[in-house]
Amino acid sequence: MKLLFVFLVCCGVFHMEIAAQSSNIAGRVVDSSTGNPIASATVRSTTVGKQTSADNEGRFSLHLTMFPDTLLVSHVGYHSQRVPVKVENDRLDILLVATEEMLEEVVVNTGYQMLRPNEVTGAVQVLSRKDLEQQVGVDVLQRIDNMAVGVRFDSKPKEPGQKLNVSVRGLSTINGPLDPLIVLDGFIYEGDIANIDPNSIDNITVLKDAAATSIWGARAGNGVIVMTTKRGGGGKLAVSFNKTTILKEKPNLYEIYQMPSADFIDVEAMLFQNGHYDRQISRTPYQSLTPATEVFMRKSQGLISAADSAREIDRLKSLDGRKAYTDLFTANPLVDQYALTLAGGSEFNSYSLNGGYTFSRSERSGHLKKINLHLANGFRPIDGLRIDVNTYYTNSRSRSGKPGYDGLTFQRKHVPYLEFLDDNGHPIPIGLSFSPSYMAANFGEPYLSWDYYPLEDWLLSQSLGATEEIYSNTRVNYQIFPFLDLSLAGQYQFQRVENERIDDIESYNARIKINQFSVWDPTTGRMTYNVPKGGIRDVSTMKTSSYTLRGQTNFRHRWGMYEVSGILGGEARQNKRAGSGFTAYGYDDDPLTSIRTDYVNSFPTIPGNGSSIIIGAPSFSQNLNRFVSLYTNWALLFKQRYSLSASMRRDGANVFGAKTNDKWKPFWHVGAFWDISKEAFFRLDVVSLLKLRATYGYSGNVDLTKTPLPIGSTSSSKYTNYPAIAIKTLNDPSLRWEQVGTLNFGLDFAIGQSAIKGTVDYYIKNGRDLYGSTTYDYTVWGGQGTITKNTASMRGEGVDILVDAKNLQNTVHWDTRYMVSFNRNETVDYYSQFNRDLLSMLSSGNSITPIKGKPLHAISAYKWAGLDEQGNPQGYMDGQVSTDYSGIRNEARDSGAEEINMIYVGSTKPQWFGAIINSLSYKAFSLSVNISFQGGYYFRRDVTSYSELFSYGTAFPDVANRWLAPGDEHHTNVPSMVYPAVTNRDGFYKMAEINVLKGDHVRLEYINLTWNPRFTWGSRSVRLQVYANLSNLGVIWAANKHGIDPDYSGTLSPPRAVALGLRLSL
Amino acid sequence: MNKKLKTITVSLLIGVAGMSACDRYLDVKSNSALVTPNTIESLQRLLDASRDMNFSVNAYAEASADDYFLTDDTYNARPESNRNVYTWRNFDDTWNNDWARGYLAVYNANLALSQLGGIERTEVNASEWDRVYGGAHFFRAHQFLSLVWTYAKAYDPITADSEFGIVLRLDADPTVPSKRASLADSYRQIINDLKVSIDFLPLRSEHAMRPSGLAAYGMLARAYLSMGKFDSAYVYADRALTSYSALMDFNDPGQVNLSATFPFQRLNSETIFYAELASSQPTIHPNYAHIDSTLYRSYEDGDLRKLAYFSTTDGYASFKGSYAQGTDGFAGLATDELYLIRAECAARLGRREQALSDLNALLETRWRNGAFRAFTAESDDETLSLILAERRKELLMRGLRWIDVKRLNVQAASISLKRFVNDELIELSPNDNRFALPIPVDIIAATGMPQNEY
Repeated sequence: MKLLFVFLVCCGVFHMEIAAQSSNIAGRVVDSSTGNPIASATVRSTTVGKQTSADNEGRFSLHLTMFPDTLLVSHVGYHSQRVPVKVENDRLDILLVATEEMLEEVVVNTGYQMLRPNEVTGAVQVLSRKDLEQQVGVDVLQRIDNMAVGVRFDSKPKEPGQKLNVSVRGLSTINGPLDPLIVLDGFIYEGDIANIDPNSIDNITVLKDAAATSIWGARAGNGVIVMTTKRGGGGKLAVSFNKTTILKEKPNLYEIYQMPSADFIDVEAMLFQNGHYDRQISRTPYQSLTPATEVFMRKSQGLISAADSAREIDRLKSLDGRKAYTDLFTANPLVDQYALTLAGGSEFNSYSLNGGYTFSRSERSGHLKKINLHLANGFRPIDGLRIDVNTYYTNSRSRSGKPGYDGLTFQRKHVPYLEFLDDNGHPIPIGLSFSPSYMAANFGEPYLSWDYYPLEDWLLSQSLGATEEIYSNTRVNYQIFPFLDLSLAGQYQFQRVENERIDDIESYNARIKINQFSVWDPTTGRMTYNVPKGGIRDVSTMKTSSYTLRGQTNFRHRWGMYEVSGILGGEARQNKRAGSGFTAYGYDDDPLTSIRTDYVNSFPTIPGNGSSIIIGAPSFSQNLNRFVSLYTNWALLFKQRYSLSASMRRDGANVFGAKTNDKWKPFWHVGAFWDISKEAFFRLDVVSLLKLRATYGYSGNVDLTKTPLPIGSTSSSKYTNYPAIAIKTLNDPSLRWEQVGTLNFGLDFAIGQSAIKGTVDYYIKNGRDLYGSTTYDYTVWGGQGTITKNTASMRGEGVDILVDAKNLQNTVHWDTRYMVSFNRNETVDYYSQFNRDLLSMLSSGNSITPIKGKPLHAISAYKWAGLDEQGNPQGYMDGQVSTDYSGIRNEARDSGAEEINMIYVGSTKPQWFGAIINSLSYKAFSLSVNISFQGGYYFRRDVTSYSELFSYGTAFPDVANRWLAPGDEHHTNVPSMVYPAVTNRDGFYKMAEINVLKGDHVRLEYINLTWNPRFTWGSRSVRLQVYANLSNLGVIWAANKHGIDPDYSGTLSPPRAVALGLRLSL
Repeated sequence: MNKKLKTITVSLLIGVAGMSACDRYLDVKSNSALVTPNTIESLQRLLDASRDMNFSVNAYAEASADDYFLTDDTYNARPESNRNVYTWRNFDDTWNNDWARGYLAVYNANLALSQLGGIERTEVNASEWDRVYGGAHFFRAHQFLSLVWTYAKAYDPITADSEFGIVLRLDADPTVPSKRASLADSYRQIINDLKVSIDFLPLRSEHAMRPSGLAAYGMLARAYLSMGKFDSAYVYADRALTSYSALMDFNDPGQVNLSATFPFQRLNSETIFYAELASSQPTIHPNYAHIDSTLYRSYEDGDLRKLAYFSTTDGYASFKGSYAQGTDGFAGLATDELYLIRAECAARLGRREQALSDLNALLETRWRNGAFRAFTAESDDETLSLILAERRKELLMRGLRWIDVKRLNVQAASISLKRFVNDELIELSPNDNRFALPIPVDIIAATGMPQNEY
């Protein structure tokens, strides 16, 4: 509140100051054809040599002392223009004519300042609106997929705590936060990325090295993605409209292997005969059995005849649940997006109003509706003062759909012969958890029905999500001197996410909950409902709010051949999250009622004679993070060809319980460039640009949950309900912030008149003081098996190459953009107690496994010695072929990093990746095709584990080739099926080298066809764009010969999608 | 121009003033649910965390003992770690395990004690201060006792100084290295902690989940009994029973509802201190564990425990007599155990009449009204074996059988344990090294402490 007051006072002060400002020349530089502002155009006085550059809206002001004067207005990609100035206080509108076919140079927006490309020493990539329009979809980040070099989107499951699944130049931490920092219009964006309307984003700048990220300090270690929204251009009202419809194929369940029903039932018969279910049938008869097992049981109990049983089994064997599921549950996913933009303004202001509406329907009939509004206003009430106000509003609502195929199981066991309708077309129930026959016989009336109808229940049990967000920022900029301006800015965000689940009294969830807590008294014939009879409403709410206040001084001056620009500022930021949740029982929405429920005492539950409390008592959580930062960034340019840059930032955070010294952390960078092509001695005419860049600096990571005190969290204790404290974190007084040092060498070049131009960057990242989870003597505490210390370090290095080539420039234009990234990382230091180095990489490789000298994501595998005569998989122990699986494992464990009976295979994350975009245009038509590639990595294919098959019904295609009879070992590697399943045997086979495949592949990402005619309507020029986009087109080539898409091994790949859309601008 | 400079100066001054306020700005809690326990109240909460403090009794010993067995089907379906505990095979135990659970409770107790050191005991806070101080000592001793029963051999005064005991962590500071103390020192610490706690704890506590003087007496009796110090065990069992001696009458449906799925109420009148076995060993869960058939057959028909303790739905007996009123294993202290300790000690000390009177007082409440005839014995030995047989029948599945076998074998009882697994007989002979379970391998690796011979 106090800060807000200071902020307002400062605004007032500047307001009074304005009257003193009088002898400035002000004006605006715009593109002659589009009327768009030309940001950072250079305006220079030819008589006194003073110069300035235009701001984001093309506006500039220059303090002149001699009149008349002539201004030289220039900008890359435009013909320079001389503008005579005769009078003081003149206002100028300057139109620059674009040089033919020059690409528009976009300014680099670091979030704190706008930089001209020739001021940048670091590694950045700017994606223009045109780049962002290449792809369609609801997610704004997805639009830079395969467009930004060094930025990789991962289809694999996220690490815990990771929100985005995007990495910039690979990892720079092992256990710290992994997400890049998202910046929206100059401020850290803490909301849900899905709230941002892609149509409102004008450009995205990706900051990759220390020069760029050190200015963002803590949390910038993973790179920074700066988004800038569209602004009004001023002038006449411009209207544009955009509509896109995306239609996708139904998910193809046949992509995932399922054991044929007949084979599956044979396995079930074998399990039944071997007594696999005996304990369940005798001890917990209320648990459901699969339909086939149920038939076997009834037959063995003499409840049905052998003939009936055989007939039923034959019928089940003929079913295929995938087909039934696809027919009854899935539909073509659909997305509809609308966007309308109104923009305009006058001499003193500019405005833009964006409205967006998105509707999407998932393959299982879930719905999402989203409204986006964005209002941008810029005022220029008097010379030198500029006020920008931006407000966004998002409102989205979602509703759950039909159940997923994976969730339709019998006590978590999948069967391939699911059926949903009987012969008369009536829905049939499935025994999700409870045996229908047992429950009907033992807990029938007056208990409610125990049946689950997948086809109908989803209408009675719905999850509803509602997200509302307001995000607003204001920036007041005042030019005190021509070389100095002050800006004060503030940002406020509020997001409320409410998730509800409403179970109708008729729903399975409500019925089961009521039944489980019902007590039947046979003597009185009365039923006591401890969970009230009625619906259930479960509500969880998360409110996020954040604010930032920032004061900043911007300096820019030129002395002869020297030009200095810099910023100095400070900011305070707070991010607060408050959650609450409860479950109400006996709920009815008409009339709106719920019934009081005892959440404290425990009640008997059936079946199984347990006891439990009723969950759902109100709970609350609150997190508050605060940061204070001081920062400065300076660049010195000499003769337009040498430049030095440096920055410094100090961050403080409210790390709980930390000493003051540990709360503050400095970050810095230094950088330089040399534009060789501007040197007199440089005489290679064919090379029009050759610029060398270098930067080095430190940025960092902080995880506010890590603290040096023994931290407890409160709860209430079982049976006593006394308040209780459980220690969640062991005190470690030595915890510090993580630091990432990045060294970057860059080369910018252009050949000919930009026929080929590009950048090459080489970088090295050194992460030090990284949080490392280390094993320890847990006798001292016991609460966790490992604890976090600043023990780890890692090193990453890589190359990013971006080349734009103009292959043809005639009636047909053919451009190609090449993007290649190489990134590899390794753990340099990690404390590992047991030296079980390779053994710990026996996994899917999707989570970080820090092993000294190895990539952070990597896999190892057992050496394979084929099958023996009984179909048992064989490995090596003591140098001999062996089937002693625990012995093999022990030897592997004890050999640490040495490859004795197992081998280290390699990274599971692509070390090479990139894309090639070819764009062809002819007259108003253009076509672009994006082909991406990933290479230098491995993945473990899914194979059948018999213990999982027996317990969960899951199998993979290899099971069809399993060893059946002696001799088979000569032509198959798939072990025989044995009962009881031997977990170690399954595990050995699963982790054997034969199942590790190369991941390298080439993928056709999208094809985009656009018709872009221009015509006039009255006095207005009208731009129409009609486009079609095909995406998720699949793998063109893969190194593995099993037809597996390495990005989606074991899961359904995203269905092919076609998008049709049009943009209309008046 | 001057005005401008003034403006800049003023705003810079505001900025500087703002920065000095930063430390206060950063001095807020980042998560409202987090606390650093540093008040008496919060230290009490640390001890009231029942999941950590009361429900963490080491279950490996019970899983290794012979009150129950598994069918081959169940055995084969269990993971290797469970199977190895069941068959006394060495195994690579790593976190998370009952060693960790036990020492987490010890840490809480130590943290409470070290933080309490910074809080002055005054007239105003005396009773709260004492409750934390005494409670922390009690909980620490309680965990140490179940750990020493599990990971060390039985106490034998002749060898106790040379045998390994357990790690005696007496400080919350994680930098203090862990070392194994001798068996004698381990018991000395347990006895000492319990005696300290008596001086600070109220005789009866507000809740059986909180330690009390009564619980400390009972725990001392347990500890001394397991050391073979029957005179001391007698004294403390007697002190406890003099203050509180309630027994439930199994004939009274208000106290024991024989027809209920779980006949005993949680926190019933016999419970002096409430604790549960950790849930690390599913093999002892009544859904899997079948009660030893000979043991089950030893209950006579008038003995209501046969009905109260067992369900026999599928031909096997499974245990339903937990004082935890459910499938969780009760591992706390109850008056029935104290009667049996006093009776056993009396018998061993030659006070046959007192021994039989205690035994009969207990059994009278266990038998059907009218069916009970007081037990008699002709000799001290007969008395003792009668008491020991009833001890096993009364206290099964309470985490006591393992140490009973161990300590009785020190008295030359020659009890060996047997398992039949997949047609194979596995036997654990008396005083086998394997009666001290292996310490987790990651602890051995981290500390270099000596492992038990296995």
